[in-house]
Amino acid sequence: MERRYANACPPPEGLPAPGEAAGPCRLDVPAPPCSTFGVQKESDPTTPAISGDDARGACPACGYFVGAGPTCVRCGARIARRISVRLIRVISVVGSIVGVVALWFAAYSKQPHEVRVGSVDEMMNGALVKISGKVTAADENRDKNTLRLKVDDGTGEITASAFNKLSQFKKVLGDRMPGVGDEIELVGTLNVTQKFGVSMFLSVPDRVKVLNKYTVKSVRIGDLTKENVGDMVALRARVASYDQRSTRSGMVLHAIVLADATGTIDMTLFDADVSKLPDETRKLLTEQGPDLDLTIKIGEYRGRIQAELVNPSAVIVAGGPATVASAPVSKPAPPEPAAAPVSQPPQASSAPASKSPPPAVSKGPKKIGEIESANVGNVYDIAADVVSVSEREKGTLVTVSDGTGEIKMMIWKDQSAKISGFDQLKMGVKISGPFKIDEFHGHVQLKVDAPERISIK
Amino acid sequence: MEGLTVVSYSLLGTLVGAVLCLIPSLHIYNFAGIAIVIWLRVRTSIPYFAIGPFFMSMVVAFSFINTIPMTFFGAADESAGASMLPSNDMLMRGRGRDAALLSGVGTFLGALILIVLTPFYYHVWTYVNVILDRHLHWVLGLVVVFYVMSEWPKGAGRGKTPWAKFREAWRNVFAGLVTFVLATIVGLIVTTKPLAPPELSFQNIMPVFVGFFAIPSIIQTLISENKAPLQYKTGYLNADWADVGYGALPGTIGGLMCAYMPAVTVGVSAIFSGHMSNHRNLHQASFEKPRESGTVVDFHTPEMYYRQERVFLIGGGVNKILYYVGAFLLVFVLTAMTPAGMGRGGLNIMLKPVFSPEQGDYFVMAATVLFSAALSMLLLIAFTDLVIRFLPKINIRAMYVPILALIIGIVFVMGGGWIGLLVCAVTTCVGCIPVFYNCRRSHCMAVLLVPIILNFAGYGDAVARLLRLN
Repeated sequence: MERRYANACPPPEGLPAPGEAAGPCRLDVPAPPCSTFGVQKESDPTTPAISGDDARGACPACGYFVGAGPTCVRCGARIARRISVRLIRVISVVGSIVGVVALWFAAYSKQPHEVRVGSVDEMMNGALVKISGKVTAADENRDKNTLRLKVDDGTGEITASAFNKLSQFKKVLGDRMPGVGDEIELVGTLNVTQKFGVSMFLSVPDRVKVLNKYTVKSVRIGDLTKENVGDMVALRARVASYDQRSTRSGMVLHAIVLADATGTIDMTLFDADVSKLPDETRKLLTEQGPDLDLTIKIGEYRGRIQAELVNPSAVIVAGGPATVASAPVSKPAPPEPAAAPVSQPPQASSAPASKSPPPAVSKGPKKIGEIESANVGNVYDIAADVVSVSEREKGTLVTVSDGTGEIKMMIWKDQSAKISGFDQLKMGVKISGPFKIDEFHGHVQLKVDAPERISIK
Repeated sequence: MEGLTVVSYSLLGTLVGAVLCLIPSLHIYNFAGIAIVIWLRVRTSIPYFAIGPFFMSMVVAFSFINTIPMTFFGAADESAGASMLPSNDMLMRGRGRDAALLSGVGTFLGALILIVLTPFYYHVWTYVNVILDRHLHWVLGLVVVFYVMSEWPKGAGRGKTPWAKFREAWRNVFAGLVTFVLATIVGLIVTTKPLAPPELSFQNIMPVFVGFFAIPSIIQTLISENKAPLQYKTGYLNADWADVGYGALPGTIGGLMCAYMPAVTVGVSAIFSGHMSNHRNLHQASFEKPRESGTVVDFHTPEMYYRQERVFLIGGGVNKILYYVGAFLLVFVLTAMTPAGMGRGGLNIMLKPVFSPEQGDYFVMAATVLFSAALSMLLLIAFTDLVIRFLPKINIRAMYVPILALIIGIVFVMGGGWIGLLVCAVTTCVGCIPVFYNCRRSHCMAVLLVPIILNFAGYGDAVARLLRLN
């Protein structure tokens, strides 16, 4: 009996040939009804020797003679109207090359869509888009070779980052590097994450264009109004006072009051920002001294305009190089309605920029349930029962209720001494007096503006 | 109550994944994208903490049940070459059920390995991540060099003239290199300047992969003359515990490699791990009884009768689940050194806009993996038995026509409309080259590998300028 091998390779020597028992066979099953090429019946001389598909009437798959039939009766292969593999090969190669060129051309011609930051959603993750807006912050981290820009297009603010590419951006853009206040056009890839929100990756420096370079104009504090909110201006002012405060969450705030001949304006810096300031700048801003030239952005907080420091490294002493101040500023006394600080400059006429204004006049009684965000800044007479008292490091957190709703208030330690009956403060006592409606972290709360007019019974 | 919700969504994800994965040529990431779009519409009525277990259990089910279309319906994706090659041979010999269940055993073993390696992730892998992070570009470069150079000339003996012999030997290698170069150019184009409209960009890479892997397989099946024979069902698998042990190590090494490295998939990692399972312990495990007296039938080289095919299938199963599930599970390894996790993979990228892991989620996910793996193994056995019963009656070619239409529809709706179809058409042509020139499909992964290497190395913008796409 002749042995035939489909691939002309006999098995290695020493091994049992197929067909000879080599051990217990775990699958004792009949052979499948369909076999592939290479099978021949040597004992039947009438079977024609057919190989390949050159012979007429032969199956191209198994070589079995099928005559004029459309399919092979043995293996089911199609005899006529077959798709040539060679044709597919040619199409795939030619189509690939032509297609790649077409793709490149499509990409070359494509202009990125311009989108608004406010319209970005989850489905746009990974999109290459164009955003136009004003730079509100620019951070160059030389250690990490990273550029970070914050751009506001009027519908929202987005952070655009170029990781490990700052040097390339500086090399390509040179003087055209975007700065705070510039109107720019960015093309980058959107990155939308549930944790960090929407941001953009900048990978190619050529895709950043400065449309309008911002020229900072000099102003006086007294000329600033709420209409200037959002503007960036150059200011010449001195540090009138400096104070450190802790928030409920443990953050440290640095409250600076800047003053010139026309008025004062508050500037608050978080501890994390102060720690990043150059040492020279930190000294200039935390100590009383000469007039400083600095660039600020006008912001608003609780109805009052305030300054936000822009470009900290550009804070210099007016008219000369930066020098160290002569004496540190002492912490001012707690705000009192009757007393006024000795060196307090006159307030700006159209903007309440001074540090401790006199307590506002009450607008009358108000139920807690009727208080809403629109009332922030107003003072009302409120009488309510104490629901809970919680001691904090810097004061006492009190929750009160008058039957129509509950609201919180913080009584600072320096205020508690002035409140009548404060030592009786506990659950169930009544507290009444004029309270200012304030807002903190999006929640409305009460603020003790005139502690000597508050009574606890 | 939360526990019950997690279990319910894990069960739902397993069942949904198991049923949908039976559709040949469709990848779980296609369904994940559709699921995310649906979730965005109904997010107020589905609890947020259910997202992770749902998608995790879907991916686990896919790792198991995907074996069935790949074995019986010839629907090979990129991972098929790594895990399925002997299964086609076994299918033609009536042992397709054996092949599917061997792969399932490997996948289940991989699920257990995935959980057992938990201390490794937290106490070793985080350091590896920090050390390797800055060096990934050249590590990936070495991976590319290895898998390109490891493809050797085949068939040098054919041809009558030296030129014919040279051409036959180098044809498939050259085809592989052409595929690599074309895939690289496509990748540089779509990553530098994506063509999809912004509203559908979260799946802008989907037409590329459908074109590279899914549609060429369908075309191949449509023109193929193969008809699967009757399949046989036995009460035990044709393997022993030693085979399981031999397959576990290479599968684990390959799986961890592709779970961690970006753009390295099962096919690529199996080239590395497969070398550990080649030609091991030449041991004749089974043989074909001659059908007709007086004849002998030999279909393949004798090695294919040996332990290698079982080890390959089991190792491939381990590799597959460590890639698909492991890459997502690593997202939940939140430590001081890895505050954003270490996850990679398409599912992680798709879920980032809607989901972020939190401390403590890892153990919920680990439990989900175990639960879903156990359920999926049972479903694999049940579905395999069902499929082999109806396989002789199924017209595979007729089945693929509506599936092709479905895939084209998904590309059009989710992948960017007509531009998505154009991209898909181009990548289909490129993807047909390895299929019809008999070279590795892994060369198509250059579409992501090379752009990632260039970006990590800091040359992304230089390439954009070179291609005039800046």
